[in-house]
Amino acid sequence: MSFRVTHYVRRTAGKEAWIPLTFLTRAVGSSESGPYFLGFETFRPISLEEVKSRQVNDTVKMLEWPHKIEPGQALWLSPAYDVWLASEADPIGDPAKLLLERGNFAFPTAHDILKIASDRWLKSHVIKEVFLSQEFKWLLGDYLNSKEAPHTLYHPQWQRRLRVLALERLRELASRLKLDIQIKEHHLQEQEHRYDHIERLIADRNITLPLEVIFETSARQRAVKVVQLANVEHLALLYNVRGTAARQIELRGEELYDGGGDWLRPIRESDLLVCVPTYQAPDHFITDAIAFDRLRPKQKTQEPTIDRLAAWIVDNQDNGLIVCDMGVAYQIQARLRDKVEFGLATYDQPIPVGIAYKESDAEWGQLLEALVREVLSSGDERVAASVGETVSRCRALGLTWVQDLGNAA
Amino acid sequence: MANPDYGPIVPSLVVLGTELQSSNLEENFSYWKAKWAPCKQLERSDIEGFGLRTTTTFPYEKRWGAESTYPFREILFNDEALLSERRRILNNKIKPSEPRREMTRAREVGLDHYVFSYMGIHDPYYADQSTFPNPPFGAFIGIDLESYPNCNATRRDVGSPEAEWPPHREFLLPQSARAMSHLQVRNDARHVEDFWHYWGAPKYWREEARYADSHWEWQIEFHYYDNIPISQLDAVLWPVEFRALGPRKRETSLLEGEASRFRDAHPECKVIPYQWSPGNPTMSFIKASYAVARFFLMRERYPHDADEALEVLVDEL
Repeated sequence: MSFRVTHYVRRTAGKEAWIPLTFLTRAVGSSESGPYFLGFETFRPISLEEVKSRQVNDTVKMLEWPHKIEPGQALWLSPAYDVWLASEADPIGDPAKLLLERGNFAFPTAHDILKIASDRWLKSHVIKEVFLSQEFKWLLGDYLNSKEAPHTLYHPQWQRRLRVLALERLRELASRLKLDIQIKEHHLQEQEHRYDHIERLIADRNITLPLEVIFETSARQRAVKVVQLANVEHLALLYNVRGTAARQIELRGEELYDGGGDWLRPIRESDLLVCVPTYQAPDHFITDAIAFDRLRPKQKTQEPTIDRLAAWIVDNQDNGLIVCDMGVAYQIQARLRDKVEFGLATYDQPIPVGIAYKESDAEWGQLLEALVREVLSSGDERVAASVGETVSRCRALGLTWVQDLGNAA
Repeated sequence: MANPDYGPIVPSLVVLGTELQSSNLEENFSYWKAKWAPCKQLERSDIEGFGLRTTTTFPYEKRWGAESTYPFREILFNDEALLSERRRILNNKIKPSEPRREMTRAREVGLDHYVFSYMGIHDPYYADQSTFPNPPFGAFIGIDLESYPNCNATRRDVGSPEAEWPPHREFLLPQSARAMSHLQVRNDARHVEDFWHYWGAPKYWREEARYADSHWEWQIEFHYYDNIPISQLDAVLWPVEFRALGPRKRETSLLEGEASRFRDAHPECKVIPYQWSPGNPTMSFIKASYAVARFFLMRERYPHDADEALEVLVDEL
């Protein structure tokens, strides 16, 4: 049977290497109605409807002109996002290689975005001053502080690379446009985490590249969005082992608590008090839950610091429950040792976690996303190793890494 | 949650309200053997095949709509276990919108409490379904887990047109199931007395029009209660792909960093890289799986990579 390649599956380009693309074919002589095949495999045909459904969600792209493809050939994606039909064994050296499509992907590079954005965005405002702050401990660093090395920031290699790359790209642009751009690194004084403050700094563009992961809760979405790195699905229910709070609602440490359905219901029906870390994701979650009558208003209180949370659970050992993220729970445990334990419950829906940017600044968001992709797909071994380490740390904190490591790992 | 201790007490096997004892499962074996009258017996070479490991597969990525997950990461790094469907639901591992396997009859008899594996080739059956074609991983499951009632087997997938319904007679002890696979080859003419026809040799995928669609109908299934910890996997077939850096200049890459981390974390589980080809997404995996299984039987060890096994079978493949 002879084949025509008709579609390919989108993926992120490599930084230097050409990478193979999964492609769909149909038999030469068959109509557009198919059937279609995965590559050269005819034993599990795919219907036109199925192909179309994949096009709708943008994972599959149709070639403008189907082209004959022979066994021994493959579809390749160049770093410039051009799609080539070429030898499977040696595409770049193939004298008969054929350019099927110029790069017009949904995944532009940082360079592409800067090119597009230069007139209507960059000249006008944002990068007149770019503040880069690395002094905010990011969430994973907090975890480290409590468990391993006090006062040590977690600042992995891939994150450093992201910062360097952002500066590099912006400087290149400044030079090209002959703009007088100040790129400032702004070191903010350390203090106890206050996420409302961090959110405001980002929204006011005083921090354009915060090296801090932010949970994009619905309450924050009007001010900031994130370039997503991970999801958080679980939160911690921390209790004093000397008290009766856990027994009252049949909560056990380390288990996923569902309370027989809506896990808030047994808490609502009990005399328990719930304390949350101020303006963190569980605070938003519990506030919403009260609005929808899933908890009584008088049951909720909040504390702004780890020390205050720890003191609160000691003071409320019989009827206190701290609802917090796992990172916070570990920090409280580190202070109180074996006096507290925690179980897990789920948010109503996963919350995106990532690098935040001002909500209305979509261009900067796009650029950040492209920079993150560029770093993760760089193929640099140290970067890949550090990403792996971050993924492990995320896991320890109940975060599920979702950013496609693609070619990096 | 990293590597939680899922280990609940294994309940006895109850199928549609009837508890099955190991003696029932032994009787089932006799029942099926009696169907082949006269039943050709096992030969010495068959016994050697008893060492083959059962297989299961999972994808690099699963996409639906605008959502996606990375099952290999969930299984190998987050859960450090293959989880049954029921356990995944209990642990909130399945998103409401996520497409699930069609296994109506299996759920009906409670097999959703079990992790499935197959006495046969790794088959990325999901690749042409609602999910995305992408590199498949293949696990070879350790033989030590095959003790009843933690592990049971069925002569057929209970949804197979060849299975009896209700399926009480289909259930076998794991060791009987291994014998059954070989007896089937001796007594069922469609396997042309070739065990590898039963198992899934690539040549039959190529030569028999319905092989890809129908081989699941005769394959023996193993079921492991609740979860299989990664520490109980013998080996994992790990996809790699070639990339081009210049004329005649290539490199191999795909998740190599994670492969290294996995090796470090689980030295007891052999990582066997194989070259996955987007032009032949299923067959490149099938060939590697077949070659590794044959190599394992011949050399009593796993190859360093699939190429080492493929070289041994170069004339056949």
